[in-house]
Amino acid sequence: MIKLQNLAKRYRNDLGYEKWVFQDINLEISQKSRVGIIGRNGAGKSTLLRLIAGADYPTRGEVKRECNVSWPLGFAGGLPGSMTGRQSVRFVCRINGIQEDEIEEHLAYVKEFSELGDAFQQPINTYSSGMGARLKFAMSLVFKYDVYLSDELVAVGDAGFVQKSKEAFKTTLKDAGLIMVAHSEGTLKEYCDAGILLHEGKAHWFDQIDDAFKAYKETLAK
Amino acid sequence: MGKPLFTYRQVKPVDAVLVRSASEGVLMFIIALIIFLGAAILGIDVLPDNGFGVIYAFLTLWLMGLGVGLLISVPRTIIAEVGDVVNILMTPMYLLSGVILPIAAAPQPYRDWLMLNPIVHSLEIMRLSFASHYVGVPELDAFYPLKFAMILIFFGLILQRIYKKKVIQI
Repeated sequence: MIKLQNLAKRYRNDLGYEKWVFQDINLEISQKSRVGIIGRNGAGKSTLLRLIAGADYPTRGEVKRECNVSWPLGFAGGLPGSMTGRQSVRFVCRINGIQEDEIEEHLAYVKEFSELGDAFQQPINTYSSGMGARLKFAMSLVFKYDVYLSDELVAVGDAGFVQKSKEAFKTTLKDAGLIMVAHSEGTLKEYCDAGILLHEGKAHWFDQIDDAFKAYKETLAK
Repeated sequence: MGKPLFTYRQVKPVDAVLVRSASEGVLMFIIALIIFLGAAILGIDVLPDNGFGVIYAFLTLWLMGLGVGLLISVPRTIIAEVGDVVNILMTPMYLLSGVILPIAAAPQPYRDWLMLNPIVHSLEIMRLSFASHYVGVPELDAFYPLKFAMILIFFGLILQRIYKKKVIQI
């Protein structure tokens, strides 16, 4: 269970506080549920995901994680360019408390799945964008969590890799929950059952993702 | 520097300071070893008379560095200009620490003022440990830098804890 209590967030810049991204979000997301977060650009979808992940803190309120939650899986940030692919995987293994003898298995899996070859031992800032995406995708699959948070994590690369990634992602998600931010309606409907619509600083819960999209389209029409 | 790693909630801003301090400490130690080794090859007697004294002085200096790092990194992140002020202060602090000009040469009452600087004590301990015939400053207090470091670290950690959320958001 992930509990969001009176969650409110606003960012600060050099001139002071910006306006509220959202306020008074009260939600309980069960461990098994698959939720898509929908909203316009700038509605706070990624922000909400980052708060759930603990990558950022709410201005007010609290996030209670009563299960093991992943970091926001996606292609933006998360790895310093000076570290090699291998070092990055080892680092994330260690902060997740994985034992030394299992780390080797994790490393081998990521190296094989990402098809990086010798580049696995090179710093990430020497990677092409496709290589970086493949590394991050492989890293998302190797760790076991109760709930996965996905921020625009989509399969990229050639057709073979896309097919492989999709299958592996579905296997990983088999017994886990998912909270997903994505721009493509198709992706969200493929993976999610329920939906959260972020609109004008409020969050609305829908048991069916189709209803969430219906409501979303109504907000767009206004 | 370690900013992308804050994506993982296990990584806190204080970790960046601790890791940086540890790596700087190890680096400083290795550089010192290389210099001593080089000097030894040239025939200079580099072995200290009191090795433990040298280690103690090194540790107090390192702990004070850690404390200052913990203290400064928070305001430095929230207000970028704090870094400039610290940089400006560094040169006079360097001269006042007695690295170049011996503090023992300063007359009273000014020497007492200079001895408020804990770095001076650590450096004097370092010199005394290397050469026991060195004439140190009479007002030397061996525990002063250690106490100073503990206080710095104490308040530094408090600051890190209070501003944990704010620092991560910037």
